Amino acid sequence: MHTKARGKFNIFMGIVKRINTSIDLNETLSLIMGGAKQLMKSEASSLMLIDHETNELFFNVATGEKGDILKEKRIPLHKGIAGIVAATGESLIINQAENDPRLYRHVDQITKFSTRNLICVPLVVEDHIIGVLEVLNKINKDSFSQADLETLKSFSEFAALAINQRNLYQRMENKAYETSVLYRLCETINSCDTIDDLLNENIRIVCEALQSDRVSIIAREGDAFVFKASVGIPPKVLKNRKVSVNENVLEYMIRTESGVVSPNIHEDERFEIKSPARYKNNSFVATPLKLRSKIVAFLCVTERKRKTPYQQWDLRLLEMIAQQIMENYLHSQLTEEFKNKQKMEAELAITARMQQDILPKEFPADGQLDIAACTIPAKIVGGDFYDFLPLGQGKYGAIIADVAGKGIPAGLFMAISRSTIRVHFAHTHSPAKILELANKHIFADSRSGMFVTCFCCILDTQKKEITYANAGHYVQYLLKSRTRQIVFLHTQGKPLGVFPQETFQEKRLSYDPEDILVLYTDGVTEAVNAKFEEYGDRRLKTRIRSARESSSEGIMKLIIDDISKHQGNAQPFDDITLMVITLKDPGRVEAKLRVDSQLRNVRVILNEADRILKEVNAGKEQASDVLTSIDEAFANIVHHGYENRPDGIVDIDMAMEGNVFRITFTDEAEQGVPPPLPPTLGRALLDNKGNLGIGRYLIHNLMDDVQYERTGIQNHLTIKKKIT
Amino acid sequence: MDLQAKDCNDVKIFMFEGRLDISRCTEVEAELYRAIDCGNFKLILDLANIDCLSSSGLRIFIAVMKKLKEKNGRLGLCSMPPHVFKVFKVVDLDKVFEIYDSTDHAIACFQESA
Repeated sequence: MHTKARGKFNIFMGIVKRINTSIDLNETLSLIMGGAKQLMKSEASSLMLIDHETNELFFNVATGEKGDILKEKRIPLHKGIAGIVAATGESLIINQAENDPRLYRHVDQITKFSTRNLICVPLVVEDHIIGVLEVLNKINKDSFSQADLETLKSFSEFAALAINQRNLYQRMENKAYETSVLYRLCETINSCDTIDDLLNENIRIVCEALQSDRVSIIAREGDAFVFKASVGIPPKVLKNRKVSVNENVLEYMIRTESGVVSPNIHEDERFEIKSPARYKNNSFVATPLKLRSKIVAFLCVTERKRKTPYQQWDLRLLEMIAQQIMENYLHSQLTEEFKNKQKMEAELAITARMQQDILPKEFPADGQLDIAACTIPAKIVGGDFYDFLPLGQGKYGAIIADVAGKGIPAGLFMAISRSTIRVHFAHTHSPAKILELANKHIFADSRSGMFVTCFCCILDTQKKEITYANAGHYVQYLLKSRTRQIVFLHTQGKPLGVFPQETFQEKRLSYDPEDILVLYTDGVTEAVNAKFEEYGDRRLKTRIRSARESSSEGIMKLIIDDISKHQGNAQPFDDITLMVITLKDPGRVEAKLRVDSQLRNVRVILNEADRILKEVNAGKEQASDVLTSIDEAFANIVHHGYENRPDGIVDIDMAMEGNVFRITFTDEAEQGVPPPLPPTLGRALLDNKGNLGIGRYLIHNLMDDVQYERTGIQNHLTIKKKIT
Repeated sequence: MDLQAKDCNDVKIFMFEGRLDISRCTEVEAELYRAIDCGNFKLILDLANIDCLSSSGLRIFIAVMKKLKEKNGRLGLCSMPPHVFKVFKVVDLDKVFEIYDSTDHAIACFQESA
């Protein structure tokens, strides 16, 4: 090898070595440029890379005196020598540059450099042109030689590889950086409580990620755009929160629906700069924030801390960040909505509880009445209510009502209606008058057209009378204890709150002890199952008539359970309200009952007998004797008198007469209870001879006196026991 | 009328509470038969809290006793208050049943002879 050639080779290897130790792309590019200049003994060199997004060539690094001026300068592909080489991939050697029309003079004009001769070679990686390398003006010579071209070609092959490698590395580094930024943004979802906190925290991350001092989110508010969150914006600017979107970069972004990156806003026609002093650094990057593809805000970043201006990569990073900020914003908004909803629900639950609380749970009635009531709202807050008021002198007021509608408005109206009706009990004990007065006030309060149906009654426990009036409410029931028939309580009348002046009818009826008043709202009879079949008044009446429970609570539970059974899993449409009042006569030591000849009815008779026995403080053994005897007597009438026919009538009349408890059974069976037989021993049971006679034998032994009599078609069995 | 049951080794104890009137007989009888059908042949009926008992109740006890005898089982009646025992006595059935003053006593006797 020639000494000259060896010298060149040594230079070549030296450059290669240096390039290989560098990691940074820009440093690599500088080394390549410097190397080319030195290797080719030229005055200047330049390296341009292709930006495939814009189809431009841009100077990444240029050496020589004017290098700095060229940095980031862009020239269109196909323009000039570099453009041609980049487009064709063919190297060019030009030795009469002054006269060559292919030269792109623009660059020389900027740099005031006069190109005499040049070599331009493509930088190729895997058949892909990534840029061009140029050396300009051979020192001390008029022209570049073919040998020079070959040397530069070899060098360029190596340079292209090095650039590609650094590019890959850079890209990976960028990706890692992007990921870490996005991760930090995601984290803020959990750490920030409010949307404002979240946005402020997010733009602080943008500041760090883009190494910039000034970041702002400018958001649409009605027709205008305002600063929603910002870092580094002078207070003077923020004072006037509104931001113009006329003939400026924001307008440009709205128009193009894309982001902007500008290395120098002073040379950028998209910017309208009113106060240039505001910026220390001229580079700018911004992107729109879109919600369902509509621009709702802008994310703007300026005042880069590094000298190098923002590049396309910064815009891409910013776009990614913008997307994440939007996600965060939506998430935060949903969370806030959810929290508000939870708060609302909590408040609703309190309202519902308050509403339940104002309905009486205890019913002081001196033993005159046994009351149970409940309301089950369809929504959390219901419109049904019941009420109960002791009025003095053995009188009690009872009300059941249903406000049209459900939910909070119905609940509020319910509270008003309840107080209004309640107040009028103080003035009058006439249910019709109470409804008339309440109607006036409720009409005045009912601006939204709400109304309430109401059944109002006064129970006089001294006269044993029920006085009632009705305002558009359903027929209510009174179960007669003696006959177990249902009496309907109803009068015509409009609901309260519909007309300003309204009068109501009033009715009065007597009740017997142990009669049961059942007050209900239409939610009871109209409770539907999954097939939309209503519970119905027939089933309700049947249930009431067949109830053998000894307390109002028991009867209420029975009905409520039956309704639940009917409803199954169906969603309740209406509030269910039920009030059961058993009309008592404490101290009364007599009872008259009429029941059908069915064994289960023995419970009603035993309940009454038990009550009287307790009333007179009968001992356990005497009570047991009486109850056992009643059981035997009734069983005999059903089994042997009516021969298990279920529709026979049995009247029971029981009373304490002095210290003797007398019970008379009257039935109309053809075969009366036969006259007492000679005692049959219980062992007859063991011999499977049936229990005919054993019941009567027991009665004879347990009671003091047993009399049987037949008058006309009736059989009378009277049994007596002295209670001591 | 309330009927609760508990197991004590191979003995099943039923505790009665309230009135054993004729309207409850069918369900009580069915409950006791169910226990026997499940293989419980040693039954104890605790009658301490029974308010009143009529012949329909007696009939159940007899039927259950007969059924158990077929299976070589036993029926014990326990803790009868006087007003209940009276009913047994009146119809001369007080000697027919194994009657114990407490469930513990009944269990002990059942296990002793087993």
